[in-house]
Amino acid sequence: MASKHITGVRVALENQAAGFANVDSSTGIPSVSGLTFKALELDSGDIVPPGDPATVERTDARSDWYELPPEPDTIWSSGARVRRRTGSFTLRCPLRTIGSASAYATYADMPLHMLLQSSLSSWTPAAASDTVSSAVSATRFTPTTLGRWEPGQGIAYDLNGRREWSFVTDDPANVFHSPAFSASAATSATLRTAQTLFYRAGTDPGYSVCVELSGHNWQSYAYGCRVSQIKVAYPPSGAMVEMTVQAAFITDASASGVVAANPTRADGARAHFRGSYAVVTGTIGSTSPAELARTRVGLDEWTLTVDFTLTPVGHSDDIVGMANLEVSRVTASLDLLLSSPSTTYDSDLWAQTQRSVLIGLGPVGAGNGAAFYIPAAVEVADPLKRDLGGDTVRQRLSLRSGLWGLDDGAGADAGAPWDSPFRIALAL
Amino acid sequence: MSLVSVVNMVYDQVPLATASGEAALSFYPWDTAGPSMALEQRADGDSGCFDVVVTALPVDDGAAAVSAFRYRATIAVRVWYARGTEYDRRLLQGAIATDCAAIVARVANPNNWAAAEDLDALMPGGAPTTQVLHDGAAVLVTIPFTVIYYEG
Repeated sequence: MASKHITGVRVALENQAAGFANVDSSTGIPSVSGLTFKALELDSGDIVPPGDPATVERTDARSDWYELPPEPDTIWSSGARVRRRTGSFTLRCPLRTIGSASAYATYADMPLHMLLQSSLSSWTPAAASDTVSSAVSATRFTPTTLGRWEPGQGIAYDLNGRREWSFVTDDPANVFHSPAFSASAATSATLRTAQTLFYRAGTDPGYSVCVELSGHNWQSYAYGCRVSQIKVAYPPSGAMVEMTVQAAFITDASASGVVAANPTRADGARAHFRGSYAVVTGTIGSTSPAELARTRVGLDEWTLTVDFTLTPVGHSDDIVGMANLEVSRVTASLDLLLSSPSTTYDSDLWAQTQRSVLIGLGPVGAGNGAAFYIPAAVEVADPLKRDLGGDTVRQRLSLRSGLWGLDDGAGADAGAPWDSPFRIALAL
Repeated sequence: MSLVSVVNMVYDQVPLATASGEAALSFYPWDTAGPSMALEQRADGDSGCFDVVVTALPVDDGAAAVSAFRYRATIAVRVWYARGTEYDRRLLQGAIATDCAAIVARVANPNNWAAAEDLDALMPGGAPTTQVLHDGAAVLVTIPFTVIYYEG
């Protein structure tokens, strides 16, 4: 007898061994050889054996009404067909950040980050924090160490007991950032940098991952995985990240099915929207580097969705049948439900107004909190069409990531996230 | 973290909420070292004393693991108000409403407790309720919170 209530998921970067799908060169079949797995903190409800068998229905002419066994789409090894499934599965994880960096020294070690970077690029700042040498304005400060700031990366600032977020737009001598903090970053204040996940045409995402899904007496391995959708919602218990993971090759090792270990939780707090800010700017304009003023908005609900189109790069060298799953298109969407309608946004669809929109999450403290940022959000619905779904009249903003070119990337370090149309900042 | 630790932390947080100043000058804990009587049996004294009680024991909150699961429980902050016969009922109701908001804002703000290891969430658990005691001489206000935490 085996209980279905004990389950676990572990994740490994495939660049540790043979690369995409970790194909064994001697067999042409993926293996876990050389992979180091890290146990992911997640909800158990969605952990089930994933994928559908790769078979082709046979349409042969036949002499009576009978079925023919479907034709397995696979290769032979040691005289038998190799078991092969393909498909996607969903994982729901609490959004927890690195905290004091004891359980995980870097975000690169964290399984949640491994999944996120499989379809996004990830920028690691030179250090976790810096102090303000001198205050300048709500959109500029003089840093102590200029080299810790690169255009595009996130900044977290604890002000009045709340975590505020912004993103660097330039770093000539002072650091320019947008949107504004609610006040100047004070002299000697500590500013936290952020691991910044982003996408930009021409910048490759990170490494593919192998995912082990296990329970009592069952175990599946999904190789060549990248996330095809990231969805973040905010239940009162804290932010949850729901990821749909596309796998190139899925197989089982159920004979050895055990849940190997409890998840290693990062040291940071669960990210919370309570005690932080949602910020919308005015029209983004054309001034570079951007230093946009902020307007705080009260939200009843928000949902972030990032959709990735994953295109197989085909080949016939091995059973996987592809050399990579390439991210060929990305769309970031942010739906906001404003508690109180504002006429400021009523004409955004018709006037084609683009604004920066930032959802900040706390709490305060080293390695806590996160932010989701669309610097040039495009409205795709009519904000004047009020939402009557609750007891009060509310306003819904349906936003997509538009073209942003107001970071000054001249002289930026290679790989810095400047001018990216969508970013996720995870506090350091 | 244990549920007892969460309860103790809430005992520490509630006095930091700003009371209305009309019915209660401050919130102070009732007999944390071992009560001589239950809060609702109290019949006199100043308004604003409170206790923290577990109203629903922990249940599995659905995290994947071999052991050391995430749990969900319900606790309540109960605040006692003395209502003298001369006291204006409208003022008392206003004070209770203001105090409830202040306690919820203090206790549910993750910036105040996120450093607590293994505590994921401490969120409002529904509408506060009132209970009239001692033939109208006192009112007990119960403010529920849902706790999500990792035992261990």
